[in-house]
Amino acid sequence: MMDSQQNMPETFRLDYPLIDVQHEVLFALYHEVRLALGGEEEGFDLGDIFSGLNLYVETHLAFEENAMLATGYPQLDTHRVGHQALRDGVGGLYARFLRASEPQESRQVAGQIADFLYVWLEEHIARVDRDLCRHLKEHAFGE
Amino acid sequence: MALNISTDGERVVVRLPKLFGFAVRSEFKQATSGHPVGTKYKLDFQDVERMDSSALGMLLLLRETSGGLSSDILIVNPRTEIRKLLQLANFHTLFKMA
Ligand SMILES: [Fe+2]
Repeated sequence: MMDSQQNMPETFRLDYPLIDVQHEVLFALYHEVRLALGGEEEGFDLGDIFSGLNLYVETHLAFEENAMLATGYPQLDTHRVGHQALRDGVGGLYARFLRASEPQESRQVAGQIADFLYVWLEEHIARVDRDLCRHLKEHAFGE
Repeated sequence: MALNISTDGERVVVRLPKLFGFAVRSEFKQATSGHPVGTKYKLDFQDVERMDSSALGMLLLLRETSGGLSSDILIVNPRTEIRKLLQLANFHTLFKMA
């Protein structure tokens, strides 16, 4: 991959390309929300960013859950609880975004989605995905 | 113009640049806006040597703006390392890859 300032912070990196690349896509969508909220003329439509985010959240979490199942990961259930928090958090805020009647409310909820996603990525990657990546490496998953 | 836009009769064809990343984001958005929902795309990766995560985000956004679930985006001619990157990101499940 190329380097760019828009890249995910290095502290989010787990040195496991399969998972790192997918986290980077989530981070890129986070960055798109920030650009759209920053009033950048060329910003993408927030509704499109959020539908793309919902889709990719599900794609990524399903990928990790399948990897855990395939390798008999002992912490599957607790890891899934963390995933469900992301699904519920992003899904719930997205529903509020769609219901918002005023542009100001839409932007406020959009900011909440971005904040929620950033904090989730930061905490989940550091605490939960690090252990999973260690396990997947031991099982040579995806190699 | 880093991007080349044409049509093959069925699809809008976007020939992507050597460095497909944040630097061409505005151009990519402009080139792909103004087409109605339901427009089919062919993204030609033959010149692409490197791409960044912002480019992966752009691909997902094009998928949404062109119809989401019913979108029809065909990726052609990626070199081996680019194909590998797209597969790592699981994009082969979201896009058609030739
Ligand atoms: Fe995870």
